[in-house]
Amino acid sequence: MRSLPPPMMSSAGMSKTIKIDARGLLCPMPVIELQNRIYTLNDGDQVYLTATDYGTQYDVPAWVNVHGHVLLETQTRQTQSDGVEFSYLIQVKMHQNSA
Amino acid sequence: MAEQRRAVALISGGLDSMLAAKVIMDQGIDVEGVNFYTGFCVEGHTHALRRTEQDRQKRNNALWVAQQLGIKLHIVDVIEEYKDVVLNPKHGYGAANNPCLDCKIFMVKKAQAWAFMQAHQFDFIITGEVMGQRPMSQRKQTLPLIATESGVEDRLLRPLSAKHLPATLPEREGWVDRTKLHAFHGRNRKPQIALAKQLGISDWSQPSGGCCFLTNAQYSSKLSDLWTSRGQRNYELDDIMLLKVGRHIRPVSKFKVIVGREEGENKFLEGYKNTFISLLPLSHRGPFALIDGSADAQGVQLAVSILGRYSQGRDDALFTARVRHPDGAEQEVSAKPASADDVISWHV
Repeated sequence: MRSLPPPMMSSAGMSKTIKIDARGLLCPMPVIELQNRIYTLNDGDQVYLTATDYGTQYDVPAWVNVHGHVLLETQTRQTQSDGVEFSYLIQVKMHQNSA
Repeated sequence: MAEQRRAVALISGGLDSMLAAKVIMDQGIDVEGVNFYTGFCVEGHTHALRRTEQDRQKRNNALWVAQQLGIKLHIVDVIEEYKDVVLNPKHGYGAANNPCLDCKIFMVKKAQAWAFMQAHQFDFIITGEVMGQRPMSQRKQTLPLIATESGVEDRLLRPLSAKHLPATLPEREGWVDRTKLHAFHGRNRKPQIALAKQLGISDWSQPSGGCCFLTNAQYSSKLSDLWTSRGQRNYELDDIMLLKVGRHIRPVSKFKVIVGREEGENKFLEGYKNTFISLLPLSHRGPFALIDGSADAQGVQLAVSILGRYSQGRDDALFTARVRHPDGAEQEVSAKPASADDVISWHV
């Protein structure tokens, strides 16, 4: 498992990184989980999302893109149970009129 | 300077809602999309599950539309609230278990509630409805009903059929130029396709809709069977997900066997092995299966015989499977593969 990045300073103060475990959820639920958590975060905060649904490979970057957040990193790895796990590190960008 | 007006667009992922949003955006309105996830949506899960559909892009089409339009899309989980729409539709069902009119009223109402919850006020709601396109929810008589019963009234604008309907508030107030709206009518898709070309849209999904499993007769039949077998009309998300996957075979009223149709479905069904009795072929190659319901030893043997029918041992005298119970206990069970006629007659 990748280690989380250290906390950073943002204009709103100390930013935080939160983890979302969406493994086992099928799309669009991982995106809904991501979206609902980001609604509660501040500019500069980061989200580390893990998922197993292949659909997240398109859906997560697409959602991040349309909302103007930044996808910092994506990773794919094989799991011991012959499955695949995807991880996404997203930086929250709050824009005027954005939720 | 005129106040910037804002609209919420119901985005299904199909062409009509995409066009409706684009027509309004082109009039200078700030549009954001909302998509409601009911659990019955065709997009997403099932396309990602089936290996045979791997050539298809595993994307959420509503998100894809939002990307093409350059608008934000908010996906809202309405699984629990939607149950009442499915189970108790005031306006009844269509040809299957599809409560299309109640569904549309629900979604427009939810869009309004969602919009009010946002920090930034939205002025009106737009949908891609086309008069006469759907037999239940998009008739001349029902379009006004949706506006009234949802409580959205004249803040509900259908840009593709607006000229067939009384002017809405955005039109009367001049936020939207009615002359630039459309008068589409009926099931003919040519006007939408022509408009798409005119607006520079060259790619879209499901041109004639069909984004909900409830309109699918086979799926609907499986849902009815679920309700009948349980003696009550209710469901959980897992129930309706499993109805999308595999062959459903009910040899007796107490249980059914769900047999994977290919590798992707087998993997998906394996995820339920701690919830249901599961069957893994041992003596021959074959699919994975679950027993949904209550099965005693005789019932398990019957389930194994059904699975045998779908294995490479279908013509052999005996087929053996490893039977795993949700508590982890395992046993090997053998049975003569069921006949094709029997299995066909048990198909849900």
